[in-house]
Amino acid sequence: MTLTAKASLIDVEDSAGRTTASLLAALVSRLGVLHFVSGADAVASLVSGFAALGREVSMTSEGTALRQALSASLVAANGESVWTALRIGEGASTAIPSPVLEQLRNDVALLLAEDLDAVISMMPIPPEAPSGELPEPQQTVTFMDFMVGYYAFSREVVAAVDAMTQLGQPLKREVVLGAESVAPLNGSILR
Amino acid sequence: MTEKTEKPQNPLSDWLRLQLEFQGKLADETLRYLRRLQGAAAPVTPGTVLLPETGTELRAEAVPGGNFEVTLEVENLQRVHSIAAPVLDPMVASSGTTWYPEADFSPAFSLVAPDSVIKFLVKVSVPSSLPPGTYTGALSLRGLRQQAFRLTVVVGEPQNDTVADTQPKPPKRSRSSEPKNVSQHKAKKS
Repeated sequence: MTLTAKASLIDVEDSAGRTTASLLAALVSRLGVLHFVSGADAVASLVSGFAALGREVSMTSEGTALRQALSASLVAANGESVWTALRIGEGASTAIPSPVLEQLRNDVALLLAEDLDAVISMMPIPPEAPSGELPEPQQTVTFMDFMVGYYAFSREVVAAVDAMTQLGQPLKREVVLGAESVAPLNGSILR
Repeated sequence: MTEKTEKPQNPLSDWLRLQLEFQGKLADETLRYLRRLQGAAAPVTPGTVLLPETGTELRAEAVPGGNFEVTLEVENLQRVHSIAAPVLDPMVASSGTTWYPEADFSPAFSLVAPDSVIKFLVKVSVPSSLPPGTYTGALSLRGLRQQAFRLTVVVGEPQNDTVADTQPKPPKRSRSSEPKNVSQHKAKKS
């Protein structure tokens, strides 16, 4: 029995949408804001973002299996101990989660954009103005959330790079000989 | 006999402890609120929305030990490349049985160029030990869980040739016959 489903990928409503210019402007904003926040804030935001991704992935069949397998081992207990003792979760739980998966996908789209040179020549491009709405209240960040999210993010990176390599020329696994030396050495080296 | 001597509680220390706890919670909540204010001015990250075209209900019928397929066509209507990777949620029956489906996604991950269509084939194996019932879950794309297809699978009575309990076990067991991906929670009858 075969079911059929169709769907489209579209831009978020009431937004500038994903264009090469908007993605480049968003990247410039991300880099620019680093000058105004501390390193601890930036890392806490990233950790919170990975944890948010982990919570989402944990709802899937694959994520649940991964989470259960990790929870059954010593990894979960030891990780939670380090998490609590070093108060990593405490800092990350107050940080605004960084949308790490969307940022990765936008960066991949930038790498594949055909009009990137033309758009870079138009810089500076004003970024999309923040809506000003308060983000959702933060959730408590646990070690397992972070672990699953970091795993999912890393797999996405590997899969994206693999997919991008298939777009280019296939790698030729041939033997490449080194150039012959012009003047062969004669006699002792220590002369 | 030993008499337990309790230290008299100093009311001032209790008051101080409560004050410290209160101030600690107040500082924590203030920090959370300031972080939210900071988040309101955070740079906007352009995102993607999954828009189902042919309704969001998918209904399949299967038997234990069998399988079914879902073809998911995804069209990228954005102006830049996008990424699609289908995922399945655990399936839950009204009896409380949870089925963690093992599925084969082909492809499991794909770049989707602007104005192009990618077709995913999702092959789901139904475990032989799965009790009959109606199981409900979701089929969605990773990172786009806000919009998902509701997947309903009606699992019928096992066919004679798929009943593992009454037949001698074959030397090689297929992965779908492993009961590890099914957990059954039966409510206790009072």
